[in-house]
Amino acid sequence: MTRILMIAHGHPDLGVGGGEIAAYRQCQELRAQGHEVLFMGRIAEPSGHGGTVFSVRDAGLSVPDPSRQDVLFHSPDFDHFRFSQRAKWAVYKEFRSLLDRFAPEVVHFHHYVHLGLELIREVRKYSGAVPIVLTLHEYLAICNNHGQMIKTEAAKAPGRLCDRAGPADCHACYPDRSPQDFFLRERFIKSFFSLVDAFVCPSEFLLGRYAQWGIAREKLVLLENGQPAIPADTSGDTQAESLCRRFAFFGQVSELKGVPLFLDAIDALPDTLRERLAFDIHGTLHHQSEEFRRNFAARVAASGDGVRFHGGYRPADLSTLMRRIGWVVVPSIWWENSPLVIQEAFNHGRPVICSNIGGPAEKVADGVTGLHFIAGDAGDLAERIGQAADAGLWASLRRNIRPPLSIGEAAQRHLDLYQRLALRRAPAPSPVPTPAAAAAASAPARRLARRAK
Amino acid sequence: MSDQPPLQRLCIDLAYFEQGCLFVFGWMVEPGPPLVGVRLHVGARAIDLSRGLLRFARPDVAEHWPGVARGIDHGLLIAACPPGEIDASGCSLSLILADGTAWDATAELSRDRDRFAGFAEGHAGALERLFAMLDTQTADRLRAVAGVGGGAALAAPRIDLICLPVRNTLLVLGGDLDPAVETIGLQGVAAVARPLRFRREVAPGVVRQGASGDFVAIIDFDEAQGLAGDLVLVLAGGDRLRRQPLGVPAALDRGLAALERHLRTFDADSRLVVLGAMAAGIARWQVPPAIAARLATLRDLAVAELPSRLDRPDLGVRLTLDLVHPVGQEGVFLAGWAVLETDRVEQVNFRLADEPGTDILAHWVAHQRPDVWRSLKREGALLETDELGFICFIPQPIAPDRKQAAIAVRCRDHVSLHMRVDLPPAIADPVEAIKPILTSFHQTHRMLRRLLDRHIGPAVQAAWSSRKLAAAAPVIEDFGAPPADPEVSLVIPLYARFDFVEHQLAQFVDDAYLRRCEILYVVDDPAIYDECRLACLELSRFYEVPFRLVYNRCNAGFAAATNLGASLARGRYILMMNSDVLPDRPGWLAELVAAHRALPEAGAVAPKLLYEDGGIQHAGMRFMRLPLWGGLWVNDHPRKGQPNQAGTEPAEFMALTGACLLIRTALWREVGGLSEEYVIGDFEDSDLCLKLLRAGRRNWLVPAIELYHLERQSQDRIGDASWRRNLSLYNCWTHTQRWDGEISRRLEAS
Repeated sequence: MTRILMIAHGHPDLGVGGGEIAAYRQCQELRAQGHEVLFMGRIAEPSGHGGTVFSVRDAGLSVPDPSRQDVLFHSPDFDHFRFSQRAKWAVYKEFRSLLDRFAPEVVHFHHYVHLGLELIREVRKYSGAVPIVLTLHEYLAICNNHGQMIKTEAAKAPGRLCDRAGPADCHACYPDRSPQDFFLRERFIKSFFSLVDAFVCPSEFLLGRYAQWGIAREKLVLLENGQPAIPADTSGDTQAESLCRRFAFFGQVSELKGVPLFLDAIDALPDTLRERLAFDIHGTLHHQSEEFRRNFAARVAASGDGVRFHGGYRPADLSTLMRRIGWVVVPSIWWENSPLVIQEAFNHGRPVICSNIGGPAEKVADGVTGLHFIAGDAGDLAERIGQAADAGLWASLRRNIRPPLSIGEAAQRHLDLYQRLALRRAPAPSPVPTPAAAAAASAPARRLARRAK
Repeated sequence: MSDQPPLQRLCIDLAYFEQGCLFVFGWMVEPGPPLVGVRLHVGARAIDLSRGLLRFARPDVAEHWPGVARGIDHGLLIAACPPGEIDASGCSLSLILADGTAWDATAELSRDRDRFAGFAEGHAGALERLFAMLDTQTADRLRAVAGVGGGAALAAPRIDLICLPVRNTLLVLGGDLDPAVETIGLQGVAAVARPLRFRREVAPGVVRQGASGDFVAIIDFDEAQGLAGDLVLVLAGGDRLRRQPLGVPAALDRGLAALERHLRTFDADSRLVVLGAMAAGIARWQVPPAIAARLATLRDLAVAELPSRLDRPDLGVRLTLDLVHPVGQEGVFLAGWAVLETDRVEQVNFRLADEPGTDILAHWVAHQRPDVWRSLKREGALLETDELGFICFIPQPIAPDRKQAAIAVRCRDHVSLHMRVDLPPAIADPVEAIKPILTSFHQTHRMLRRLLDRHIGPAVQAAWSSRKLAAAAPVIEDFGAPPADPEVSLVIPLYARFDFVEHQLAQFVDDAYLRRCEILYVVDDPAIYDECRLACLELSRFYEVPFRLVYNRCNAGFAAATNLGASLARGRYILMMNSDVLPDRPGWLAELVAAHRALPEAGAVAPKLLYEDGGIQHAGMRFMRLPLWGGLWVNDHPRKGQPNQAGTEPAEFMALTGACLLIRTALWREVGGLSEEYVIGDFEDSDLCLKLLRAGRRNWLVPAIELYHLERQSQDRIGDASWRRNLSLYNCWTHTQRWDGEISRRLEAS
């Protein structure tokens, strides 16, 4: 049994995002395997408990079990430019007391945004022997534009894909911030990243971007998120003819996820073809501007029955929805990392049409498990859709799909990683020579390292 | 070679004796101490002739004898009726001087009537002036022998007022004074006054025309010696003389009332001329305070009536002040524009009170004023110069309660124009006081060096040096326990922003060597102190890097802040460091100290500094003359902004940047740390390096150690770039003033 502190920037009960879901699934899986996992999710609202940043959320058990309770970290005051927790006492006092009490043998961060990079250093202060793992979900540390590495309007190239960050280029995207500000931002982030033992990268593409940004290659570990097991399904084998004409989008309905591009592509189809096909959009319009919502609604209405918008869905309904369609379209206009929806599509044996860049291009092999279109090109996407409405092609691609990594396997790979890191850490003296902290913390870490041997 | 004989101090041209009357004509070579007496030795007799002595102008002496002193009355005339018969054929003359010495000369006693007649005719005016001082009987006897007095008399002046406003002082006010009159005196009184001529306004804007306008003369004399009989005014000029009876002294008005009454009819300009003459005339007497105060009030009232600008193109005078800026109590800085016809205007004097004032026309530095030029051109003015603007610093102490001053423009033909100069209160904050001075000119000025040397430099210097330094003791607060025996003291001033503190701590925290050093942050900005202190409380708890926060309770500038931090340093070394300097990796300071130990005769040692884009910010400095700045020495950063491809071996430089500079603490104290003459912060680093060179040390760049420097991130917050640029210019000027010789010598030697 390993005592793991798992930290995420949200809690799946309080708002759904791919990162939080992946983190929580991993947490639950490790708990199921008998490990002691404390899940700490961040919440924006100030704590209702005076003088502390913590509150408790039980993991949905009717009989409360202290070992399965999640902790919420209330963090209303956050510096989003350099991911700094403004309330330092929340770190050195509150978070530290949590560390001292729980005495984790491993600390796994699924993010630092909203939480504060400072938490990483506090873990290192707590113990020089505890492995610190950080899963990277997008390019936030590299790019101030929501970590998406696309140019802003200020750079006179809105939406243009960006290859690398630099003080001058980032300043062009954000003229209010000086190149020096961006330099400081990077230095600041890296001063904390230097304390991390391993960065878990769900895609080779993302791993490459962080390596280019300056993270030591040996610290970057390629490890995909696990997928839950689903009930067996044979619908695809018998209904290929109808399913191959059903195209669906799953995810947040936004510009960035390529929904308007998807609609453009549908418009670009010849009428005779379009009438034979069905298009479904599943997802929420949360966080979208009023203007976007209005435009989106107008376009859906103008399509007649051509495009059906279903709104958000419960994760539990995903399998049902997947079985009703043949193709999953991932039209994102940015690089992406490893979109959860691709793993989910593969989990359900559905080929994917996606852009030919970044994470999607890596996860979906063109002509093998799906089709690539030229990123941002609605005409090309329309052609791929036309090409895809072919039962033979659909069935052959479907046959090539391998089931994604299961949650169980993913959890095991993480445990292996923790133990490798603990082994590397255990004999080394603490880099921060605070003898009391080192003595207090090295015992559990040594225990973990012994088990690894 | 001159064939003239060597000069004596005293020469006698002629000594003549006839009918009991003695005349001596001579001249003096140099002024010497004042004459207090004259003794004539004839045979065995010594005759006191002190009352019959006159000194007068002898332009011929100065012209003829190249070696003599200029600008003094060389001529010497003695006329007396010594009692008894004189039969000796020779005489000697002793001039008794105030310092107790005597100058002697001998001469033959002449009886040559023709020769004497020639001298008497040539010096008729002087003789008359001398006779005027003697009693009538003696004068008549002498006049009869000399046979003079029949020449053309001076015309009679108009006398408007004669009074004794102050004891020992006779004031004569009148008009139509003969242009030839040079002096006005009283019969029987040695002292004479030079009349001050002026032109009264007869209607607003119209001055009295005609022969010679008005005049005022202040004749001082010692009332204790008494004035016997009728007063007789003696007017003299050239060789001519006029006596004007004035009646008995008792009939004259005493006190200021008569003068005040009379002045009421005068325009303010004329009143100031008369009051100015009064002030000068009575300066040597102890004037009762009540009278002095009354005169000051009269003057202030007249000044208050003056216009605040002069716009008299009819008299060739236009003068406007755009800036009147008292600098502490050290002086006043003026900027404005003027159109002055050079053949009409003689002087422009700035006066705080009654003093003669500073001739600013001779002092100021002119510059172009295209706006004024265009506007006047449109009016059709004919302008002699395109440089209508002027800048002038008058280093004249100003009492804090002084609210006004005046500018007096003296023109040809005895026309005087005055304008009022309202003095605003001096700005106490040194930086605010400096700003108006630095925004008054452009760096493109044709005579930039002269402008800096005469006006901008001394004015800014006065403002900066008169700043009040913090009287209160600095606030010192420890965050975390400092190391017991630190290797290095990092001294880091904070101005305008303190967010760099966190960035530095985030880089220092994982450097084990930094745990053996003390970090001194010096807050040089009251605006950020509270917030900064609060942040420090939190940052020190989180980062657990001990440091000390020093607060001097004012904004004293980069040098003073660094010096304060350094004064508290306990380390063997001091690292001057800017808050926007960030290390790239741990170990940099340990390496820098090791380099300092290893390098021969090391004074200052500095790393290479890079910009955020990786280009060079600092890799040593060199001195370069900047033609745009009148050849001042500037600190050039070679290869600045270029890709980082410099060598890695230590290299010697005359100067290094102070953004990150290591020096032994003992040496720092030996050379007195940073000079605080530079305003806000500039050049004190090269100044320090030059002090080290002078102390026999060598300064080394260690390019193998690299840090980042986000240059001027805090300085830019000082605002408005134009005055900042001129401030750099000022600091550069100060630096050049101080080090020109040293830099030139060393560059020539290398």
